[in-house]
Amino acid sequence: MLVVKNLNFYYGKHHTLKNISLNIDSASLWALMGPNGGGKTTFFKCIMGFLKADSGSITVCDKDYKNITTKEIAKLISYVPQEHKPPFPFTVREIVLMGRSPYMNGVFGLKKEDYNAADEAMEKIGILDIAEKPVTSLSGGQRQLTLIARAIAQDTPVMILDEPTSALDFNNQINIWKILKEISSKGKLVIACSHDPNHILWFTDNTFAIKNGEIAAFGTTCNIITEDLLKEIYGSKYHIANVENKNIICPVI
Amino acid sequence: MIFNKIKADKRNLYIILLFLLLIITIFFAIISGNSGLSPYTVLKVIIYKTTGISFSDISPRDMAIVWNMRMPRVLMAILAGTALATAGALYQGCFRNPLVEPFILGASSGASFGAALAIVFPALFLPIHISAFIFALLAVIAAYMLSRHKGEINSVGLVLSGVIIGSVFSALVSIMKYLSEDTQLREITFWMMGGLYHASWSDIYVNAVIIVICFILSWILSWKLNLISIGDEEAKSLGINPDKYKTIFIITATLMTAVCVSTVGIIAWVGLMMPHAARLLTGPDNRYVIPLASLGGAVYLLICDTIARTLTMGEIPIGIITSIIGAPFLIWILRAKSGRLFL
Repeated sequence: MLVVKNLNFYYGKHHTLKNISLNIDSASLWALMGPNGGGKTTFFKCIMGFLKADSGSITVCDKDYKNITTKEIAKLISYVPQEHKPPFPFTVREIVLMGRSPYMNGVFGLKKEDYNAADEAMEKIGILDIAEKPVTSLSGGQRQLTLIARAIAQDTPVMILDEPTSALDFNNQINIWKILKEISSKGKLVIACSHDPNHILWFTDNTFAIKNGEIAAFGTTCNIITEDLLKEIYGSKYHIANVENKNIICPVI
Repeated sequence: MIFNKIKADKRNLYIILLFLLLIITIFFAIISGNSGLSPYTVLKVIIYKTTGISFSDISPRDMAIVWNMRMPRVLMAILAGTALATAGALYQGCFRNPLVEPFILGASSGASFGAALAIVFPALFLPIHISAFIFALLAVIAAYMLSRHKGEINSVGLVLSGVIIGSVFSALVSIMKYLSEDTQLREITFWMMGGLYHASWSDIYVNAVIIVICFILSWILSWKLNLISIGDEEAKSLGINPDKYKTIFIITATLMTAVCVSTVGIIAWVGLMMPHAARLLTGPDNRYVIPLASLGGAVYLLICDTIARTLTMGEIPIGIITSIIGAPFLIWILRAKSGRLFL
């Protein structure tokens, strides 16, 4: 579904992405891990078309990025940003409806199907009861759920999330991962980057890691996340313990 | 889903109500004035002029007052209110800042300089409003070019370059004032305070064509303005090219502002206030903000202009009235309703 070949990107002289190639062909929940400044966000921005790669090719669902419009990308990939701070108090329903924009045509564009799709997405995520509330009055968790509902309403084969749980409390973090797992189980490719290797270990099917602009690991999560890889990526020593049949990563202090 | 429908209907209802209010205000504005015409006479003149049905008892004087003096002013107030309010909504969405007004990119200072130039150097053969229009456009283009970097428009940079260009033109206006004679100085000052007394039918035609086209375009693209207003990257991920649409919106807003400023001078507050008032009624969805703000702007300017020309025997510059009524309103919004307008 997502094929990247020899992707290079420079920020000025800094070689941020070095010859990245990967081929993700299964619609499942993928995690992207890696240290700060390693190139995760740059990679996402290239995939989203926010940044134009200096060389290499990106293909999503057999569509090459060479001659693709912003609107076509928006029909292939939906994006959930890390945090959303709208200057205007749009309601939850209006924000979710925005996910239907790539399908809009004509003068005012929004059709009845679009309103229905937005309501379905909100129902799926369980935020239909706050549909008329302005997003500026919501908690961080509810705002994140709103953005995920928007991505669902966008109805794309691929969904990308940039640290979806970074601003949330513990319970909300687990909730978001459960929701992502459910979305991916319905035949969507969901890629989320995260700084918590435990979450990756508990919830995701597959993982790839980017460090210093290069792919450091790629494959099934339970095979990939080892004490050695964690040391390689994050630098210090970690121990993987087994508590109640669940692997848990703790730092060696 | 039913709830959604009801809410949409309510917002449409606001538009209809405000439209009716505009019609009432128009009629009220035409019949008020110092020449003591009866509503019946005014009605007869309008019917005669629009449908051609003639009445024997209309005097040429009444005809001239209604059709050549009051009517252009009324229409110009409506057009200017629409232009400033729509431009305000467009700029606020583009800059993701609810406190932006149509003159943010230097259109007012540019227009003032153009007008001052034409007043001080009449030998240049440029009519005041054409000179004002040209320099208003020049100022915004300069601000826009200054902030454009590698094909991308940075909103903060754009506001900053607008401030810079604005202050340069303000300095140039001061030079013009310094060079001018007493009568010219008076004329410049009056021009800058704004007023609809110049409005003639030929101005109306030019303004109407530009403003109506720009307004319709803004309304058609209002959903895209919603997307632009939540941020560049999110807009892109939703299939919109932010730079392309920002450019379209800025051109549209600037054309409207420039043509209106060049005819009526600088009228403050309408462009800042009306989008806020509209958002209070319907929320920030620009599909409703744009029509409501422009209707509100039209009604507001029409009322202010009617006060300006009837309150005293002479004429009070309209900028004074709009500010005196507008400032308390904005203070009220900021203190009481800020939670519903922005963070």
